[in-house]
Amino acid sequence: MDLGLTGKTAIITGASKGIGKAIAEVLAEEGCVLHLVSRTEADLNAVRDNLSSRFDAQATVHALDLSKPEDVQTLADATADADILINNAGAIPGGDLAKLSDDDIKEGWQLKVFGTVGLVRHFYPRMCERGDGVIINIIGMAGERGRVAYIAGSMGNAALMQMTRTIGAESMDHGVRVLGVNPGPTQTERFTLLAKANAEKQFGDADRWRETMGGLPGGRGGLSEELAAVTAFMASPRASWVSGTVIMVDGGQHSRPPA
Amino acid sequence: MNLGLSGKTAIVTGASKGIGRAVAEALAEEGCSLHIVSRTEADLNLVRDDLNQRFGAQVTVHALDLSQDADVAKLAAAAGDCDILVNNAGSIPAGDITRLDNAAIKSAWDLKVFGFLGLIREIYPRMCERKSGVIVNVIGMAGERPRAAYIAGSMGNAALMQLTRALGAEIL
Repeated sequence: MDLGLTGKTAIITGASKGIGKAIAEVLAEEGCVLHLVSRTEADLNAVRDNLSSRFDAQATVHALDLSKPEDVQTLADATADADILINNAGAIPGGDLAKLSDDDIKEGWQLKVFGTVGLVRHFYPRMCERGDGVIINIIGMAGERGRVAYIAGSMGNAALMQMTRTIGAESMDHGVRVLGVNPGPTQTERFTLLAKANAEKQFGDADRWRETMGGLPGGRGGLSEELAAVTAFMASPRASWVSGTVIMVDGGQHSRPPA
Repeated sequence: MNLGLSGKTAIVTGASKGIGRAVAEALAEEGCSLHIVSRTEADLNLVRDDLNQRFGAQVTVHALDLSQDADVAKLAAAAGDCDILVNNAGSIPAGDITRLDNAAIKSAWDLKVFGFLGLIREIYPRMCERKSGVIVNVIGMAGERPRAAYIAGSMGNAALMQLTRALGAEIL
């Protein structure tokens, strides 16, 4: 299927690893011109070189900290006419209310919530003016199924989901689509490290990390590539009637009854 | 993007027009072998010939009324080992509860609700046994955002959505 993405310009935040990197790969393969954003220039350069050698993709690196409004502004100035904005950067720290002060929570939201809101504030009006554009927010299942032990993430993700639905419900009037993709537990490097640590604790053998995931659908986490393929399709004109919704990509876990 | 659908076998119900036909076209273009189903053989033949000619697709026509259990069984016998089942057939008539008596609602659900359910009952266990398969139910927004003036559709679609969520999240 030709997704019709050739020649589109896409910004991907948090593009140096995990889901963001996988999205960058698919979009590069589909012929997009990319702006890759994360804090670490060396990591971004490695991704850029990889994409340009594998797919001959044109990728520009932006080493920025999107928890800082001035860096959001810098990105917005440098990439004014992007067709696609993928907000993916940010991990909100775990912990319950007793552990996290208000300041901790605000700081945890600074990148994921306010970084996303800041970029949407810059790009959404421009897209509306052009009558064309797609914003995809990569959020996280805790926004739908909150957990006390991940209270800041549960609240922050819920806020992003509601922003997505609210803006995406009016955006088609301006020719723009706004939607969300919600990963469940995903086998990124960080996730696998955690599973290996658990396996070491449980079995004394880190190699048995897959056995620690019995409670997940099909006994595994999602793969970054699985998230990326759905995201690329949603960013493409083939998904031209999808807006204001948040798509769960979690093997069905969000529909399971509470454990 | 290569969707990896080439060579897969798919059943599409309600395939003679509208969304079902568009699904059949997209799958044919991606290289699926199709079983297309609706009540009207002449309409299905037109779709088959069109898909044949445009995409070289292998398409089998099943003129069946999926509101009848016997026809559901026939389809399952003929094409039950499919990789993909797209339940799309059926439209539920509008009307509020004063206009639609229980008999009218049951009869409306025979195709869209019980037709879906019947095919899933036949095909889902086979897919589980093979550890491979996809069932896509094309439902309708009223199941999520109900309207009193479309009460049978609101209820029926909500039931199908919950069937989808329950099976799709199954814990063994």
